[in-house]
Amino acid sequence: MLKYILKRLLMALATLWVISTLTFVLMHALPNDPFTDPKLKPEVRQALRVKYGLDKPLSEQYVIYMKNLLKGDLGTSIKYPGRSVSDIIAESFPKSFALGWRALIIAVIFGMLLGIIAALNHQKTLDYLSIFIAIIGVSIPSIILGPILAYFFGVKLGWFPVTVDKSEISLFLPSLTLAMSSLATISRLMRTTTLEVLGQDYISTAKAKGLSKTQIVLKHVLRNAVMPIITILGPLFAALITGSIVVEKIFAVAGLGEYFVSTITEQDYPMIMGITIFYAALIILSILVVDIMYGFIDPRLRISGKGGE
Amino acid sequence: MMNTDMDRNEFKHVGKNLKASQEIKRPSLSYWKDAYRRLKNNKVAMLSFWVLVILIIMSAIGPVITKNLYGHTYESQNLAEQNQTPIMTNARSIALLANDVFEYDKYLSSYRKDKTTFKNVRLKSPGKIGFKIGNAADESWQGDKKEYQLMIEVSSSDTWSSIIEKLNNEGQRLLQEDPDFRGIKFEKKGSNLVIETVGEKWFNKTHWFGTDEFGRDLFTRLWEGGRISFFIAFISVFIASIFGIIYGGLSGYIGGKVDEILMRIVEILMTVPDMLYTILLLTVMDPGIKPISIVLIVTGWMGTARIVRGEVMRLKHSEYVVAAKTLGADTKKIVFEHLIPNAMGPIIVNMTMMIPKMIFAEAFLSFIGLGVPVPYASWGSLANQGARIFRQFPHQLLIPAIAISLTMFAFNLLGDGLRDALDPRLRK
Repeated sequence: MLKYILKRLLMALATLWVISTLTFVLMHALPNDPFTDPKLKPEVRQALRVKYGLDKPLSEQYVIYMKNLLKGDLGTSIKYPGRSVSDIIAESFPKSFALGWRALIIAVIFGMLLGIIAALNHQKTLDYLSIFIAIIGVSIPSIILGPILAYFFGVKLGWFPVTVDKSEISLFLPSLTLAMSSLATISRLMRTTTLEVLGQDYISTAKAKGLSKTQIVLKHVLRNAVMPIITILGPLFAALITGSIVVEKIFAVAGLGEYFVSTITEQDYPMIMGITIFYAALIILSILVVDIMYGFIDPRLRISGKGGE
Repeated sequence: MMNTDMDRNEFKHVGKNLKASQEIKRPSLSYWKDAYRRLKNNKVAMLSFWVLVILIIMSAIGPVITKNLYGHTYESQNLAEQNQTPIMTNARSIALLANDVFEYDKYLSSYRKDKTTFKNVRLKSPGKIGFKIGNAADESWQGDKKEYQLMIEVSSSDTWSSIIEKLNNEGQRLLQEDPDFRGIKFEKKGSNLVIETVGEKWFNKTHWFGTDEFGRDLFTRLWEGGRISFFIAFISVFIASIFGIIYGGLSGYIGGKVDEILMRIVEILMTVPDMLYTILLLTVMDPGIKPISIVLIVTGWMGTARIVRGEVMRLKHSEYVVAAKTLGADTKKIVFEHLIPNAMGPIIVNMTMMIPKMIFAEAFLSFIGLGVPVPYASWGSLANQGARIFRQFPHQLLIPAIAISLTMFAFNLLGDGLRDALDPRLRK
């Protein structure tokens, strides 16, 4: 198990290195840098380039960047002078995260519920209804779902605010929009795995023992069916993070996604690199944690001692 | 009892027919024919298939139809016809000019402002109530530049019913003065005051789906956008799949260290969500159809590579491959003539499932401003444009939204159907 964790950690670090290098190369392949504004005087431009270290040869810039990265220093923003990238991330990420974890909870709880209900009513109305909801969830992208939800529940019915402020309720619509596609994915997966579990011998045994339906579902079905859900939590988290970029734009959340999009058009190198690496690290870490957790949770993997291979 | 006595002479010995016993009576079903037969029985999948066919045909001919009928193109602007809806009405807009008389909690307007509801109205004091009916700036709607003023005096003895009567009478008077006024109706429903102007309704004959904020025909733009969205999706899925097949096929066939390295690369690339790369790559290239396709190809091939590798690994030790090897077939022949064709089922399912992802990715990119440049239309950019003025003109978002959702819906269902049809293990 320890060997497995170490191996995975090493892989994660390698991935992170590849990504930061790739980002660096891509950023410097841009045809122009942040200071190509024709209104800038050449000397000013030169001074700015020196200030941000853009005048040095590329290899040297790379070494400097990597050294700083190891120290956890992501550099200073060009668009917001005097503010370090880490500061901006630290300030804006909590707003994205507030959306993210709510969406994750909505998606997991309702997705699982929907999937189980569907499987228990296999090929009955409820099953078809939940499949329908799931397919709708995958087919309507958030760029459409967001404005429509905002219009009907925010403007027409006036139940929820359409922009995010400090209140808890204002986070509901964006979280729901963000959760919808993950909810659909989970419910589809949950339905298949629950159906599989329901066909197992131990369920027949439990029935033969005279356990009630609730007991069977809670003790036997749920525990076994939930395993595959845990494996996709990592990628799901990644999907929520990228999905957040759009949702933040629709509901005017000043989160990290908003910054990411705006800095791209501004060609703010340190910000783009910083946020990409931050996102990547977050996703890699979450996938890693989920995989390791899986090794601990699933008794079959625990006994075999191989752990998640 | 039946009479079982039969005459021997009535029977004749025909002899053995060894040939007939070896004959295959039913026509042989190839894998593809069998799959097609099963797909045909899947009503949902077939319906999805035909929906897609219609959408694709409309994308091909839609812009041609309107060009020939009315001369619309995706970029021809006509500012006199901006923001039209599919169902037109020439009802005039209502705006409150003066109000000393009543208080209200809030008011709701229809998007054309031809119907206004004041919620929970209460009488306050005597004085004037005035409305402006019609707006010269709405010429494309109401058909003229006329504006009217409707003003009444309310005294302290007036009740709601007499106020409503006065308002309606004033409306009648305006109508008699000028029939172009078309009429107005005031009503008190519970505690709400509802005002509605009268107008004719007709189907928008020259702009079937209405127009956008620049007066461009949405029907033309929708199908022009369909062309671009489908083109981007098909071309990127096609090329990404070919690359994925070659990469995965080689990796799976060679195996060993090479496979290990190639798959590690894929694993690393897959860890970070495509969208991050896509955005990064698109910042390097200027937005356009070609760069978007390239970016989607670069980020989309990994899934196919994994699937093909898995299939090739599974198939490469099967008897017919061993037989082909023994007969002296070279690697290229084995991979491309034996392994890949037999792995085609999962590859096709994967391609079908990839198309909606690509359409979504394109819409996503257009939405955050990295999509096709103006004045080109793609479904994503149409949705983006519509989302901005969704509250006033819902149809501008809903029409591309329906197109995107229907396409993704149909491709997903068709993919499910294909998966069932192409998997011989699911044969009943």
